[in-house]
Amino acid sequence: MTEQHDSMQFRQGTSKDLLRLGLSSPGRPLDQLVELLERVDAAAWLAGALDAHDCLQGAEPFPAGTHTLEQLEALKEQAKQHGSSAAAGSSATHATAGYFVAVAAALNEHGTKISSAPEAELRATLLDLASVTTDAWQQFWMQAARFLEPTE
Amino acid sequence: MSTPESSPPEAPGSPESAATTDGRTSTGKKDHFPQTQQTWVGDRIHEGPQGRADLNRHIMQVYADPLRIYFLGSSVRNIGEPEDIVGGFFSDRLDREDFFSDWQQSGKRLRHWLINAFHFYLKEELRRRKRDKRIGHLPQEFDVTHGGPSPEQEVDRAFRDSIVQTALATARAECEAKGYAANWQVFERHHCQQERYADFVGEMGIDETQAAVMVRIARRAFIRALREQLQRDGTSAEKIDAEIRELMDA
Repeated sequence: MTEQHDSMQFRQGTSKDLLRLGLSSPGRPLDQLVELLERVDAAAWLAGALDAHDCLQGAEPFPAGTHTLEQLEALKEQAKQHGSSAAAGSSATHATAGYFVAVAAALNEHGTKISSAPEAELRATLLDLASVTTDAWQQFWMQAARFLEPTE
Repeated sequence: MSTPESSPPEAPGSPESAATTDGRTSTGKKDHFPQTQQTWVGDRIHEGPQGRADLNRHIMQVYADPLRIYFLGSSVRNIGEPEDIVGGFFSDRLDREDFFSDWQQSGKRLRHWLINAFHFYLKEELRRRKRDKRIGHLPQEFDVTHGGPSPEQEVDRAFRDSIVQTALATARAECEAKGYAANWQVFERHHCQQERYADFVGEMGIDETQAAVMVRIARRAFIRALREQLQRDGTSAEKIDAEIRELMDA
């Protein structure tokens, strides 16, 4: 081992686990969104994406109590429809963003989980989004994630 | 993977080499690393002496352990200290003009190319020492005499550990340079030390949700570094997942 390697905090037997982290998870629309938000000004991009949804124009992420649960359910369904009809690309990532904004807002504003995704999976998604945003948007995703049971 | 004894006849950087003719000048030497090979290794070679030094440093960092493992499993393990033998191999081969361009044309993973070259180097060393009568007791023949897993499997395991360690060092440096030192601490505690967030977030003054967000930034840096290591070894981007699975099974 080199001197550099010796200094690592590394327990024997974990190299397989660490190697496993390198596997990609192809096909998840979320991954495209996360990769995109990592590259761009995430706040500006999200504001632009939400402008496409009538009920959310100007949203920045929302103050509590701004939307009814019905509005958020409608947004989620609208995003799902856009997502299923849109080819891969900007429309699809806009739809993905709209979907998760609605789901996170329902948690933050109403404490209600409106996604059928398993709780652990949804929490991981919200944490992924928090990790590629900053400031108010990061707080928005993290606050929503806190409604869900930690599993890591 | 075939054993070195049954490998194709090329012996990289060796007098026994059955070299290709592609890209060679009339003198039989290649002009340079093929411009079409837009790889990290190719880029370093095109950079000139500094790039070559960086390349050699990388090779020594990542591949020294797999080569030592191979040496220790061979019948000639008593001819010298593993560090000296591996160091001698690097000195003898890495600066050869065609060494890496021959590798690129072989289509092999770099670790397998290096082991193949090392195999021939050890045979040369054995012959040379017999000729010089420098050591009284030498094996008659060179052989790889592992009792357990195949030599290739042991090399792959050592390579797996080595690229993980190198990727950890690279990602840590990146995180520290970008102001994410705390994120890296969370990564080390959670993924390397395998601690639950709940067991250490208190001492860091964060909660589990913050830790899970922080770890993701460091984890992406690690994943980028890990996949880069595999690409440097000659795995194309679209085959990295398959390579990872293969190494996990090694």
